[in-house]
Amino acid sequence: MKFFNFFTLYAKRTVRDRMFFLIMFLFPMLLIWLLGSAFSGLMGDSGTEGEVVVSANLIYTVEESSHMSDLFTEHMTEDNEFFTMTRHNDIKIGEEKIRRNEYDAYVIVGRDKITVYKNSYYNFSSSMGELIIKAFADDYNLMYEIAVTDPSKLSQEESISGRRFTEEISFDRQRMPRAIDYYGVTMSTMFMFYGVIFLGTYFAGNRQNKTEDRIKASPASILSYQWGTALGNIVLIVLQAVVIISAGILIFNIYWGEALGISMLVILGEIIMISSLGTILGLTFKSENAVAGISQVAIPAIVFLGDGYTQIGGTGVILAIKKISPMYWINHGLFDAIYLNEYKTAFISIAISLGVAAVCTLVVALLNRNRRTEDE
Amino acid sequence: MIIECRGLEKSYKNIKALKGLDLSIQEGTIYGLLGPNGAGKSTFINIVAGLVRADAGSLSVAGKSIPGESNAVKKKMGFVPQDLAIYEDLTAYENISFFTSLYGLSGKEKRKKVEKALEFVSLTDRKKDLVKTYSGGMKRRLNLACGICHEPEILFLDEPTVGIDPQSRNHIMESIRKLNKNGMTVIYTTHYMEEAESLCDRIGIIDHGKIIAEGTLDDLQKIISENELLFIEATGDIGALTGKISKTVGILEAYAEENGILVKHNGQKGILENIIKHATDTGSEIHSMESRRPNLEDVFLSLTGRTLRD
Repeated sequence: MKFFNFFTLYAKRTVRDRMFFLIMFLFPMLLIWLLGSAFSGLMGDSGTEGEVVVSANLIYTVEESSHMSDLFTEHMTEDNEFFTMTRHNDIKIGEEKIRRNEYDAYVIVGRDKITVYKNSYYNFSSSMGELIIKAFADDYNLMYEIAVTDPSKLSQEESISGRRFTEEISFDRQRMPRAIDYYGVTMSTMFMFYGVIFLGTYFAGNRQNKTEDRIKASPASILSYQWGTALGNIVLIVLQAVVIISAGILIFNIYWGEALGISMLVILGEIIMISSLGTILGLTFKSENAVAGISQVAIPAIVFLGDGYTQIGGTGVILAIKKISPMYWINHGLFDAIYLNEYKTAFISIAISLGVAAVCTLVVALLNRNRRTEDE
Repeated sequence: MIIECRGLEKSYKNIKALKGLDLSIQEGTIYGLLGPNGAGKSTFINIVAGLVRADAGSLSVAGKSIPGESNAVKKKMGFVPQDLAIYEDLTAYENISFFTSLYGLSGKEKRKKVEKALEFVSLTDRKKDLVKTYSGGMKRRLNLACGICHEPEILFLDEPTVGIDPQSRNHIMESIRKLNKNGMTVIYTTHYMEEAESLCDRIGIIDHGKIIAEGTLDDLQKIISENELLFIEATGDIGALTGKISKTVGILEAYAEENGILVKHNGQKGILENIIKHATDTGSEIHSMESRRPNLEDVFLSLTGRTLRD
């Protein structure tokens, strides 16, 4: 019951804050429109037509001749609507070409192993190229296993040498995101992240103005206070997500894919993570200004690394740093799900978000225990 | 005794805020805890309110030990912190309603108590206005209302009149008397000796984390009433004059104050003549001399050698 009191108090106070509406509803819509318009033509836009056929431009090297490399050469090197495959025998030159972004992906076919190097700039063509090669490898493995264990189970059409591997791949829509589609996703996930500030400053503000003391002096438990307030934040940000996504679809015709359920799970994971981070910040720092200051520095950095403002590319260390940002996994998880029907990154993103939330919950529990014994 | 504590100790890093505090407070009284800033008043209140834990010692409130039975005690307690612990972006009604609900009250019963608290602090006509539009005095009254809305048996007030106008101060003092008349035990911390003198049944003087004197106002005044107090209003070299007076036969102590010198003496003959002589010697001018009954400030000064505002 008291849990519900904290929940409604947070919702009431936050909704009354004009800045909440400005930052959480108005700014995202404005930025989606502004960036979507400003960068149209630089991304997948093609005039008035939103749909663009994606074609992956791949380069490959056969490192060692084998049954697999023969099949690869036979079935995967014919040009088709999905990809073009160019052979190059020198691995060093191949690597150089992919580094210079001349191709979307570089495939090295070994004796019993296929290695794919994706173009360092995030684009859908390179992801699609990776998917095509992955489908080939999966199919080859399956067929090979069956052929070894029980060849009678393979029909004539499905014989290991006669199969057309790429027919297995189906794309939701053969298109790349327009600028408005891209920023429709990244600005939505970015402004949801600003929920950290609202929750963090709320907790810090309660400590600063001593209302937290009054709460602690009452019979209400500290857990009902923290969980009730954090849940209030989750509900408000979910509401924000529903409004921004719906408005984006209705006003700007932003494409969110067919598997909206998976995308919503990624976003819900993000919202849970945001609320746990906001709680930690609010309970760690005593002043609202400190929480707001830290968030205003950290959030743009996290969003930048997550390709939120633009696709920043990067290899090696840069890519490793990018992968530290939860926004990298959230944005890429969403784009893979929307444009490639590929959910692996989406599930990784959900796992990361929930993992961060679990760690934060543990830290909050430790903070509560320390405060009980050390009294700040 | 509704509150009983023995040997209460509390340190914050290197600062010892309480150094073995002993205190007994009788049910139904207004108990004043008087001391300068940093004496340990708020630390004591925070321990009783369950905000911090004591390092050592025992504490029981209404027969229940703290921290062991804190939750049971919290239900019987009201807490009015020194700061304005209210939400400025809510109305007075919403503030009181929220804090009342933390004590498990809801529905009609809650609404009744909220209205009663609003009426008690004379904020009924402004109950629907956002608190940020209130004056400092109104906010103080609301701060009080949020602490009494659930009608506690024991009320802790931590310097509730800091920084407000005399009218609001009187209103709060009057409200506390009314609450006490209805049976509420009130523990009131202040560094304003006038408030403690006019309001409290018993007073504990706290300094450096210890009770240094305790009793009714009369009891405390008796600490120095056997000797006489003389206040000399003077200008000139007050320091030199105080030094000379303090060495005079029959003078027990002398302290330089803002407009003169406070002298504690044993009533021996010839003291006044000697003081006048010292004034002439140091080139000081005496404007008036008055014998006065000791107040709590004098008691504190006599016990610690410092004023309450030091």
